[in-house]
Amino acid sequence: MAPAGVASGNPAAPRRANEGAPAEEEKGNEFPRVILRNRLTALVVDGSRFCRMVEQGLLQAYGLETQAVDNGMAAVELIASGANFNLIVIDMLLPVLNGLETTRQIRAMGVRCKMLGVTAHFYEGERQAFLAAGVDEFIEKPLTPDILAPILRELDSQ
Amino acid sequence: MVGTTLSQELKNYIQSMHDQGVLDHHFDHVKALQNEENPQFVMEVISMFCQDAEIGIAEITRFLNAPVVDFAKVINLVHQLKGSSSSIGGQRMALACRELRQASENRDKERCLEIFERMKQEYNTLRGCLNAISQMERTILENETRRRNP
Repeated sequence: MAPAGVASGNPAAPRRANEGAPAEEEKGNEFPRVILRNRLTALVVDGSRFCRMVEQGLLQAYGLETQAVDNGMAAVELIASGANFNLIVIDMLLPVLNGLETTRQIRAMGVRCKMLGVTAHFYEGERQAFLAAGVDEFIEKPLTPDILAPILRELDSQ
Repeated sequence: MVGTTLSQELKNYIQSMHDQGVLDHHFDHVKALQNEENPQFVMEVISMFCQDAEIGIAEITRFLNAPVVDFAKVINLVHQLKGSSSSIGGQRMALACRELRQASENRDKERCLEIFERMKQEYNTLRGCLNAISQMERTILENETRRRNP
C-alpha cells in the first residue's frame, strides 16, 4: 500500500468523460486537474517516437483518445481520409513534409480544429511563420500540463 | 516495507538529481504519467530516450567527422535531441544542444566539435541518472508484483 499522501499525479480522475455533469477543476498535487465532460480526440504529429510517447501519455492522462503519426504527409493523409480531431499537436520539424507545409495543407482542407505547434528550439521568425501557416498557438517543447490544461478546458466548453 | 523504503530512496535520488541540476521538473511530469494501468511507463520512456539519443549522437558524430560537414543534417539531429532531452528533464543536455545548434548554424566545425563533446558528457551523466531511476523503478515494481502474488 502506498504511503498516505503520495499522489499519483494523474490529472484526470476518473479517466472517462463525465458527461452531463458540470466541469470540475481541482488543483492536483502535480498537475492542474481537468475532468472532461466531452469525448475529445487528439492527433500527435512528431518525428521523434520518444516525444510521441510522452505527448500521447500526457493527453491520455487527461482522458483524450489519441493517435500519432511520425511525419507530415501521414498527418495530411489521415485527415484527408476523414479522421477528425479536436486537437492536433504538431512539431515544426517533421520528416517527409515539414510542419509548416503540413499545417497549411490541413487548413486548406477546411480543418478548423485547435492546432498547437511545438518545437524544440525556435527563432521568432520561425514562430511567426508557423502561426502564419495556421497553428493557433506555438510553444517550445516540452508540452506541459500547465499549457495543456487551459487548452482542454477551452475545447471541452465548445 | 521494502517497497516503501525503495520508493523513498527513489524520491531522494530524484531530488538529489534536481539539486545537482541534472534533472528539472519536466522529469516529474513524465513520472507523474505512470499509474497502475501503465506501471512501466517511466522505464519505457527512459529506454526509448536513451536508444534514440544514442542513435542521434552516432549520426551527429558521422556528419561532424565527414570531410564536408552537412550542417543542415546536424541541425535537424540536434533539434531532435534537444526536444527529447528537454522533455525528459535533462536540462543541461538540452542547453548543450541549444549551443550546438547555434554553432551549426554558424557553420563553425571546431566549435561544434567542442560543444558536441560537452553534450555527450551531459548525456552520459543523464543516462547514468536515468538508468539508476529505471533500475529502482523495476525493483519497486517487482516487489509490488511479488507482494500481490505471494
